[in-house]
Amino acid sequence: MLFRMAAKTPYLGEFEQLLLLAVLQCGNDAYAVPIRKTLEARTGRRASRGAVHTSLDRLETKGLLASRMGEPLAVRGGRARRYYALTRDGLVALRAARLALRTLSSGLESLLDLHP
Amino acid sequence: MTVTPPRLAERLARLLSDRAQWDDAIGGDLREEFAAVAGAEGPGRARAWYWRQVLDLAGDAGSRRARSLWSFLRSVARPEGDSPMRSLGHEIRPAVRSLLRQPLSAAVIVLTLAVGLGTNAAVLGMADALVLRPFPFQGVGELVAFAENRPDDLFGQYEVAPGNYLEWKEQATSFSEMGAFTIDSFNFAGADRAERIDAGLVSGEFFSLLRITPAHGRLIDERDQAPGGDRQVVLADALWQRRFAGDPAVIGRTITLDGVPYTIVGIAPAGFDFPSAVSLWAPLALAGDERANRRSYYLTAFGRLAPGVSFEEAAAEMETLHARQREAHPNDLRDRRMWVQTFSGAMIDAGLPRILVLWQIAALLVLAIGCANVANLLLARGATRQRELAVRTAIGASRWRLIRQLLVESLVLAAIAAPVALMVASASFGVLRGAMPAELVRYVAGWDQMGVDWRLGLVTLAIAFGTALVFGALPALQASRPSPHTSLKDGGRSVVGSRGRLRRSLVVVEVAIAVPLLVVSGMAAVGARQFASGPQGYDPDGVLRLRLVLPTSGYPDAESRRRVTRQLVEQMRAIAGVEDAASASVLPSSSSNQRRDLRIDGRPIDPARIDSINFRSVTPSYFDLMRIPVPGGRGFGPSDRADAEPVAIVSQAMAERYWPGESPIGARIKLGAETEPWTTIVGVTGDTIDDWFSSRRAAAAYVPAEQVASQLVNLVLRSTLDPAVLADSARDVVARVDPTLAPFDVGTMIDAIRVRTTGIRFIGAVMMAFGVIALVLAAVGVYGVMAYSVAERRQEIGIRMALGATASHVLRQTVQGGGRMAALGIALGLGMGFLLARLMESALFGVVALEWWLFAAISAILASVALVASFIPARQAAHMDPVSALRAD
Repeated sequence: MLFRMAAKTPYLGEFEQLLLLAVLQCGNDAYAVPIRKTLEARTGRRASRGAVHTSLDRLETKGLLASRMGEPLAVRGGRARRYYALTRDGLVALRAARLALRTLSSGLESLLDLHP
Repeated sequence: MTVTPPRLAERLARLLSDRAQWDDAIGGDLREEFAAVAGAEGPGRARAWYWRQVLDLAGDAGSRRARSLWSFLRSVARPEGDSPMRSLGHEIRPAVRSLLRQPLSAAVIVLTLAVGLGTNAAVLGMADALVLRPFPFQGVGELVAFAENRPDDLFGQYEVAPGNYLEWKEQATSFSEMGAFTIDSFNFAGADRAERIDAGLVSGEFFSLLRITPAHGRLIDERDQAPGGDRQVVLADALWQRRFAGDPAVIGRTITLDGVPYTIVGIAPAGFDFPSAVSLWAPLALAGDERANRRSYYLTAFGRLAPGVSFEEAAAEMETLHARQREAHPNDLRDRRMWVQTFSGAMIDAGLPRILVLWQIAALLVLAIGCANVANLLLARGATRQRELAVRTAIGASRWRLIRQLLVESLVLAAIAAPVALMVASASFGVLRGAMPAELVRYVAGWDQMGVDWRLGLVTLAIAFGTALVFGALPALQASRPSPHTSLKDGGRSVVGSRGRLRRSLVVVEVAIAVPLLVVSGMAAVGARQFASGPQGYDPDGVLRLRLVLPTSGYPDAESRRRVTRQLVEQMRAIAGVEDAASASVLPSSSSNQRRDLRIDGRPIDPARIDSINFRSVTPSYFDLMRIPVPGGRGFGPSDRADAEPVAIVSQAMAERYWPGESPIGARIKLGAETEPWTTIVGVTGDTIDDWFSSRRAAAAYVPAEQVASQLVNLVLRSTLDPAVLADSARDVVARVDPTLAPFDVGTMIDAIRVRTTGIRFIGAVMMAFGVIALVLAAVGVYGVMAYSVAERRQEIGIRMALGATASHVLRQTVQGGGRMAALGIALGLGMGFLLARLMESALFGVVALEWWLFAAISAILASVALVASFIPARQAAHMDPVSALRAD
């Protein structure tokens, strides 16, 4: 079952996984600014603006994210926000990646967990 | 009040970001986060924060590029796989190593090449976007345009008479479809005020020929051609967004153009902008007599080649058809001719390809100068590496092997320079896009499409390799010719007479190439200055203009037009702070013109060759207000009413052309058709510059607005008020007199001149950039050679000084060396400069003139730059300590 699913679901890079999780964390307010903030705040690493947008685009092309444009806003100099949400496929792929990680690390808790 | 980020920082951020990611993505994010930081920490902190983001973006962009450059270098230096690549690798790896041994000179070479290749790529990219592929329509290659212009009038519009077009459409078999369009403008009524818009009147085939599909609703098609069924419009995306906020529900609604209701049936897709700058499209309804009209040539016709028909076959058929039409209608079609052209070739500005050719020549010359510099640097490298090469020869390397190694080094340099050149080109596109005002960009098809793409990349790489062979060949031949025994001797003098001569000749060539470049850039700059700020024949300072067109629906007869013109002028005059107001049918420096056939009483006329002259109908105070002198006869006055004797005032150019050596006052002329009344000339005025492009000293005739009431009303107001405030009051006056009239081109005369001269000023600025690059490269060349020869002759100079030569002697001698090279180069270059100046004159139709003082000035500038460039190494030589110079080595 696990292998069938893994074969069907697209492969997720590490940064892509983090992005999908950040989108979920942001809920209804998931557009580039809070996504990047969440990512940087929770992982403690810098994410370049270009990389965030490129990866969001790519995830959308892969069908893992869906997006809609908001209204043009004065605070953005008359530009609109693009809001993202996970698609069903996106959720499936994220679950598969997490499952793989959990399966592979089972029994290694004493080594991998920070507070054993 | 919102705080906005620093302009410069935002621009930089935009340049550093991926273009597709800027607008709604990174640009918006930065704005939003900036506002948040400003709210929390104050605007000063926020500005600093924004600059930090720019630095981050720069870092990201840099590492992106470095990564791709690095992986490219690694792939050539350490190829894996099959053996031919491996053998190439064997050649390339030592080449890369050897270049890295002298990184500074390698960097200078790469930069010089990148500037030369980059300017070329920029011009090629422009030509590609503007001339080769300006129209992004599907299958545009199969579209063919027709014209029946007179042979001497190829630069006008593509002109076709409706009667002829309809016959082609019926009879031509080479085309699967044929259509036509023309451009008209309308007063588009709004809620409180009207707006002037351009519209394309198009045949039913227009959109299907261009393979355009609607964004909403439908487009104009066959249904709309029926008489009476032509009150439909398709809106352009821009107008739809601006006036209807992009609401799809506008379909079915009615808008009013020149007082006539039209139904909106569809919206064109965003980005579709043909003919350039129209706001909407309406059906071209050819009905009744118009279907047989062979006298007025106002259509542009084009068709799509039927499958399997070649361009030549189609052109031949059209020419046969047209020959038959000329036989059938000899009077109407007498000196017309059929021109068949590709669609893209026909629709771009006729002068553009010539200017691009000129720029391309200039760019190639810049590249040639760059190549000469690089060849010189390589010669210098070769000289210092003579011992290394001699050792290799001594242990058995063939001369061919050495040449190959040196050439591979040049190719590696070119391969590194090509991507840098594309960055230079990409930056130039950014500058070019920013330099052209928006009001003109929309008329230049393809301007937005300029950019670096894979095709430009390939071409640039190919040119880079080509130039590598050119600049690498000479040094390779030279350096591979060592005589092992002299070079291997310790402290052997590496200077061979012929090598120094070769380097000096390269600098002479460089200076010689720089001369013509500087001549044409100087010409363009002088021309541009003259047109923008030289004498105009009138005083544009403090004059505001405002244009109107009176539609036939509201103003059917001369009397109604007279009345409204009078009313407008009087009410404009009544605005507080306005000294005077007047009206003219055509103003200087505007995009429109009126011409009339000229007949002179008592002179025989050849009906096939009637002269036509500029024609303007003006109110009496026009000349006073514009400060156009009236040196002969009188101006117009209140007595020149509609029922009085018809009178005219002619321009000096016209007086000199038709009445040379005598006074035209009292002569009688007819303006326009044979049926017009005879008009007596009562005065002569000074000439005005109407158009920088063609009619500098044009023959012009003025008539009183009371006698010839025009539909074109251009109001001019002389005032010391702030133009913006005055413009508002003037618009109010128009809205009061008739709210359906739409004022357009509202602004100062100074602005009008500025807009009309943008083209020439732009050409001048680009040429100037070429000139400056050429000058800098030539100076670097002279400096390089002189510095190198001083360094090489250290011992010789040391001996001379030890033997009693003074510092000033050494200084003089060295500067003289540089001066001789410059003088020879300038002398050779002046001939080329003369030829290129002639080409420039023809490309710009006498806008620029060959001026001898310019040649003198440029020679002086080049000579002084060369002297300064050789003075620096000369001073070093003169201040050398002879003892240490002799001890060295």
